[in-house]
Amino acid sequence: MTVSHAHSHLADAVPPQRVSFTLNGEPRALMVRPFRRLLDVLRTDLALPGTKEGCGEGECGACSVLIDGEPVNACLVPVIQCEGSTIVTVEGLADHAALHPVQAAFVQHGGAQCGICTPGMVVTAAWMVDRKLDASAIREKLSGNICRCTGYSAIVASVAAALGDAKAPASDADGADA
Amino acid sequence: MSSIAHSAVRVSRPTSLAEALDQLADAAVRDAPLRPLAGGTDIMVEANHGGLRQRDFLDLSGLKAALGGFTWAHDGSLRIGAMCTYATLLADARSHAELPILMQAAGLVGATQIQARGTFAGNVENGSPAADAAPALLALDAVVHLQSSRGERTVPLEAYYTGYRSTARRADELISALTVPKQPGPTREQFFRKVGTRAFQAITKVGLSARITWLDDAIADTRIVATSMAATICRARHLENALRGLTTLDQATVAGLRRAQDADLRPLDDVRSTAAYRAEVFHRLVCQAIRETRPS
Ligand SMILES: Cc1cc2nc3c(=O)[nH]c(=O)nc-3n(C[C@H](O)[C@H](O)[C@H](O)COP(=O)(O)OP(=O)(O)OC[C@H]3O[C@@H](n4cnc5c(N)ncnc54)[C@H](O)[C@@H]3O)c2cc1C
Ligand code: FES
Ligand code: FES
Repeated sequence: MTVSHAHSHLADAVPPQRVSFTLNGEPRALMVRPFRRLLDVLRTDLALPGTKEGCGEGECGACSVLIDGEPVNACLVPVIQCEGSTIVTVEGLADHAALHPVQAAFVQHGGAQCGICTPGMVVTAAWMVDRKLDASAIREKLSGNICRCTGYSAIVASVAAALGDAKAPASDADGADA
Repeated sequence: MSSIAHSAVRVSRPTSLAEALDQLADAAVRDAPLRPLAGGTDIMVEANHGGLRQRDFLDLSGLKAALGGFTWAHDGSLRIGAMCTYATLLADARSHAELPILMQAAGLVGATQIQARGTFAGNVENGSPAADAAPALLALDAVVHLQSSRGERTVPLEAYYTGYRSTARRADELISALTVPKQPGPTREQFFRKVGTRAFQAITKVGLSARITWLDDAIADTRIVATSMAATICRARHLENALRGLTTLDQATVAGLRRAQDADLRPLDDVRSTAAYRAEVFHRLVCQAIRETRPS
């Protein structure tokens, strides 16, 4: 459920404040109300709808973005806290036409079905690749990213492939959810 | 009072601790306290659900240089800055080696994204009876450092909660840090267990954080901290007393432990679990902690 009260209380709205950050490699400076969610600023003000809203309460990870290299839930970040930080969204992962290795692996291993969870999965997985985490940590580190469709096996296989683990656990014997 | 919309929230973002403390003091004098905003993982859930009651926030994200990070002191104590996140401390090998229950708790808060943002201080101040890091800190005898423009005072975490979600912090004070003293015994004496619907992204239905000190074959001293068993996280004093001197877990002893527990803790039925389940599981966790901490 999307819970945004922006329209019902506009009379009370505080004046916008200046917030600057680096977004997908570009310096940006905006005038925004300080407590607005980074998620809304990205999708609405900055026309970057790749970041999704699933739950709006930090549970599902569909809104995952990297702030200063760490995966965070954009639905839980008041935009003023982004001052001076470096943000990467799913739109910033590919190098022009060349997909990020995680994106390529999701394509190759069928890591997406409906696609709602995919941007968040890909962003968190890109962090795992960046940190050179072991493939054995995939399910634990992705446990803040919920998928309604895949049953996770294809996602785990995609991430394992991106991590360079040849013995990708394409079908887990236990079949447990991440 | 109706909830406050995101667009109506005022946020000040000081870039020095002195500035932050001055703003807190001014607001407190005007009887319009500023609410500190750290990682926002509790506050934003309140806000996104239309549950926000405050309009004025003091964002601490500009104070990471002063309040972020952690330091090990010469006396072997660990000082955790107010803006230190779970992810930051989880990267510290010494914390894993010396304070395993704090690391187990931190590693089970939410999941990756929450750990990247959430702070230990926020967990303590939020005052949830179902918190995970705060009870581990309590079992380890942690102390809360409160700073205001008047100076600093310290409050043992044991004395910090004054009621359901209320703390000893005054409106002009900020938690600047938490310190965990050097632990008296081997890490084997520390025990942490969180019971939820699954390992990650699950709120604790019942939990035990403990430190059980053994002298030869008998329990010499304990910290038994209960989670989701009362209005606040708390030490179970009758149970701690009943454990002192204990050598074996025979039937009579076990029954006595349960009676002592029932004198301390009267859990509730709620959406996550029942009182009976909580009491029974907690009792079994206490017995498990005794077995697992006993020197072999
Ligand atoms: C999806 C999800 C899962 C979660 N899972 C868990 C879990 O498993 N276990 C658990 O324990 N918690 C969990 N939480 C709750 C939350 O993440 C933790 O309590 C976290 O430690 C809060 O820290 P924060 O920095 O984000 O706090 P904030 O939201 O910024 O603040 C929390 C409270 O502390 C006050 N505060 C913060 N810093 C200070 C300071 N320096 N001085 C004075 N007051 C201060 C704030 O005013 C506020 O009242 C979860 C939250 C979400 C959204
Ligand atoms: S929308 Fe942010 S975690 Fe679900
Ligand atoms: S592909 Fe549909 S939610 Fe994951």
